[in-house]
Amino acid sequence: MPNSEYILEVEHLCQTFTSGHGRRKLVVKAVDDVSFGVKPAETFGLVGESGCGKTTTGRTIIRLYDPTSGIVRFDGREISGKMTKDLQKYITENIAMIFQDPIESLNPRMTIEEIIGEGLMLRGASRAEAHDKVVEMLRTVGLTEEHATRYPHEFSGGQRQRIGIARAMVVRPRLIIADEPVSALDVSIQAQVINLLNDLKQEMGLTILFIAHNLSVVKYFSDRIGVMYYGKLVELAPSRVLYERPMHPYTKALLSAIPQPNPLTERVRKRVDYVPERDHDYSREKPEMREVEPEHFVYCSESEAKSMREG
Amino acid sequence: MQQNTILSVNDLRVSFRAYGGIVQAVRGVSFDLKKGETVAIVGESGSGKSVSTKAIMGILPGNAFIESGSIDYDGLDITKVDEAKMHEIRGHRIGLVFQDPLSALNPIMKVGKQITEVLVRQGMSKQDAHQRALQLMKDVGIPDAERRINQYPFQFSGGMRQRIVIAIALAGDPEILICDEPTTALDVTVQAKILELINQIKEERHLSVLFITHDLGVVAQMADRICVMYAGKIVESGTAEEIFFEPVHPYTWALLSSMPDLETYGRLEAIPGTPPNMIAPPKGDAFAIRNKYALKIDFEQEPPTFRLSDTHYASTWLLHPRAPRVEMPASLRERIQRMKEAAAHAQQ
Amino acid sequence: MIIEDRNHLPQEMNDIPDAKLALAQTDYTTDERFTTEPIGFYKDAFRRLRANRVSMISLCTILVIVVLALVVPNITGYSYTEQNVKQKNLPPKIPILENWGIADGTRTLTNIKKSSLDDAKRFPEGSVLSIINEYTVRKTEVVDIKVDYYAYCGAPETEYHWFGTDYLGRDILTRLFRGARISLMIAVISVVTNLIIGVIYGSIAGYYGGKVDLFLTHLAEVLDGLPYIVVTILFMILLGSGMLSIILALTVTGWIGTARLTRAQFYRYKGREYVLAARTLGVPDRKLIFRHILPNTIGPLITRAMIAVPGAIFSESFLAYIGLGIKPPEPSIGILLSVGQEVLLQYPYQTLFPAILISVLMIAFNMLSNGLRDAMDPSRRGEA
Repeated sequence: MPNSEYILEVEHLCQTFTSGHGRRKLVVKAVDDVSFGVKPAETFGLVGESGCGKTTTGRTIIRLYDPTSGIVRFDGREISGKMTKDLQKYITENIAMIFQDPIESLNPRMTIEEIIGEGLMLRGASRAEAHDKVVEMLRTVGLTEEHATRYPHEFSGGQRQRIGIARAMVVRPRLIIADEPVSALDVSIQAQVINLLNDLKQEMGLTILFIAHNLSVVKYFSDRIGVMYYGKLVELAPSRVLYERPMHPYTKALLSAIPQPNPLTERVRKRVDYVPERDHDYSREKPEMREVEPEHFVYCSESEAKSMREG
Repeated sequence: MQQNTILSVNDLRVSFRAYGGIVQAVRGVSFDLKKGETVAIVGESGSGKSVSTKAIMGILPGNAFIESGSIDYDGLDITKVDEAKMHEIRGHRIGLVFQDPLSALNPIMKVGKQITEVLVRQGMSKQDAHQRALQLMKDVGIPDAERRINQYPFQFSGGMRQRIVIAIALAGDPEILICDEPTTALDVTVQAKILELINQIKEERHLSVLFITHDLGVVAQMADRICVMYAGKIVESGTAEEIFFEPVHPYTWALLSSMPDLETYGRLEAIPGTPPNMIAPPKGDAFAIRNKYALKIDFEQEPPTFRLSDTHYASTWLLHPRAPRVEMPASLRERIQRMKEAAAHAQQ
Repeated sequence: MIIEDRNHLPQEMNDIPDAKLALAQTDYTTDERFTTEPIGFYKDAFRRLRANRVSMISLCTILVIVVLALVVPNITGYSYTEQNVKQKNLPPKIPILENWGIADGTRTLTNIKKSSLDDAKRFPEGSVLSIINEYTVRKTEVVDIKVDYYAYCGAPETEYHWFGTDYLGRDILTRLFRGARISLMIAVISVVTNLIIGVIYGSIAGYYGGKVDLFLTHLAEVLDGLPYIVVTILFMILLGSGMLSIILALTVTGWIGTARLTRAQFYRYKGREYVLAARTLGVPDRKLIFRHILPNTIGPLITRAMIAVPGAIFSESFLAYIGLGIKPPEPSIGILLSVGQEVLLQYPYQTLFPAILISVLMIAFNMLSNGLRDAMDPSRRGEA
């Protein structure tokens, strides 16, 4: 049922990968029944550790993978169904993606102008129009016109990431899926890229799905955050609430593990572990996403929810 | 050399031959490592932090050479000893933990064998070595060690692999442990456990740890003293408190304020531009061109190192008595205030 | 320099004028410009290839042979079919060199009756240069003589066969370069055909993967199992011996290696983030294959094609050698070798020249492809 509050809705999304045949067949549930919604012009953070399915979720939304089951809607229109020319056009016009690896994500055989202009040319822009827009975009991300004729290997990591952002932004999408856009960059460069993303977001009224493992960055950048663990979304809340009142034991463990740049608190920090077998008893009650307080969803059983509500 | 100093690096300069010229990776680095302390070297990629440690371990790549300086360990200058002696030092006295545990392990050799190999080479019998390997695996927190000793590296998770690497590093019973970005490839929760493990074995074995990282959060957890490196030089060094609460070098300010912590809301203080090309390092202070607070002299002459306390040193012209008084950025001051309050809160 | 106390500066520090200790107020807006020229991949690769001396020598050698193959058969004054039974098996005779006693068209004849030397019909005027050895066999005087073989065969003074003639009196120089032309043509055509088929086949298998890949890979394996000689003979029976059958024989299974290589490269590149990025922009399959993936696989493909050229020349020679060559009187290096080896002991030069040519060609192509592989190695970008 379309909910007008959200621009992107993900409902019961599942993505499984299989390998091998017969007895050696292996089914991996990369994304397991994940549901969330992203409001227009908000930044939704998706955090979790490697292999938790956050990247797969992002890639399934933009249809790099065909979802195994579940529904994804963008602005009311279902984009998880059978792929048609029209649907492809709809997706590429509205959603763009920023990738993690600044080296891997640019084609080494193309010039910067070709890389950024490709999306424009596909949308029928003439060479001259594309050139103008590319130059404008390069200026926006802090590069110059002269950089357009260059090849990716001539740039530093931060510059390449800005080029990747320019490529995604130049087609004026409404939703950006940013998959770990800063985790491969140096500390001093990360701030440049985060500031750039923030500026662009404000200027263009973008909606961003921000996928990352660095919780400090996600906290700083996102309005609401979803925490993923082994393919499941375990907690979803406004970022402030999530950090002040984490409910799910995994979120608590994750938060307690972030090292803070403060030697005094670090030396006395108490870390909690998450052990699913110890922390949950799902033998009688089945867990599901429950709204524990307004806007704050936790994957838990009824009795757990009750104790959470009581604090 | 002071009584309790066990490793001392003096004015080390390391360069690489590369396409386009000579890369001056390390340009005069000096620091001491004392018994039982953890010194962290913080810097971005290309700052020379990894090259410095590789020089200490004698594992510089073929196109690198030590131009000058010395590394004094146990009355020896490591830069001058031969490969056989260096091999003995590496196995016995200094243990090394790398960034990527997968490439540090031999994929087709059982992990137990990889640990005992070091021990057998030191003349231990096979049975003893096996027992010791089991004990080491238990020490680094690998559950079910009896079974896992016969497994191959691919059967371990990233965190467990790093534990194996630590076990191998500990096998020779070293007095120094060098950790080169040991947790960069790991997840946050795994990282936390590995860091705790390193701190724990450091206490148990009275190790001295040289810790290389780019992550200030990790540094705060690990380090007694910190050296901040930029463009092949140490720009500021001091105790963890001095670096985090009383930084004086603009690069340290920039590093500290460029990363959001959980309480950051305003715009981030980003450092513009990119680190310099070390084939032709800029004249004067290498950070000057990216530095908001650069003085005119920064572009002409390298700053001297000023001593601020027995432990706190910084190389910036801003410390010259006649230089304009420049305060650290307001956002950083607020953050430091917040950190102190949090610390006071935590100690209650 | 370490300054222990900020309030007691050394003299040179105190001397720094106040003006220099003022804030520089740097304004850092955009990233610095590059000072170097932009370098594309091919330009970069070519620059590295040019710096490799062995490759450049090999490239020149190949070019010289190609030019010779195009030019020589037309300027020797002989045609590759022109027979002259009188002037068969003439030894090499080359102007200038003949004066130094090398390639002077002479030969030693043994066991000649001394009396027959006076026979002007057998030994025309001036053909006998010297008597090397005189001895008696059963009361007959016998001599070994050195003769000007050209005069001996009645060829005019102006006749020069640089590499000699074969058993039908055909000029070997003409035939050798005519043969080189044919061999190179067969090699290049079959390699290019293999490349085209292999790249298309491998691209489809590698790009689409899954069941398509499974089917195509197994089909290629079945084809690869066909015995190559039998296939060649079948083509010879069907189409007669000629260039077409040989090219077909070389292509039937020749493309499979290229297809495998292309497929592997596609598997390597299709999951790369820049390919994914292009997909999210809506780049169609065709463009993904030809613009994003294929250009990155071109290095190994060109290298492979370069190695395949001498391979094809060698295969052709091998087929010719076992009698499955092209139709006579058309020569190829293989046919020349196969003819030459029958008279190897008497007239070694008939084998020597084709053997040298094929060896030089193969070494040159192999060296060049080594150089190309290094030049196109993406990990060595920017190196000298």
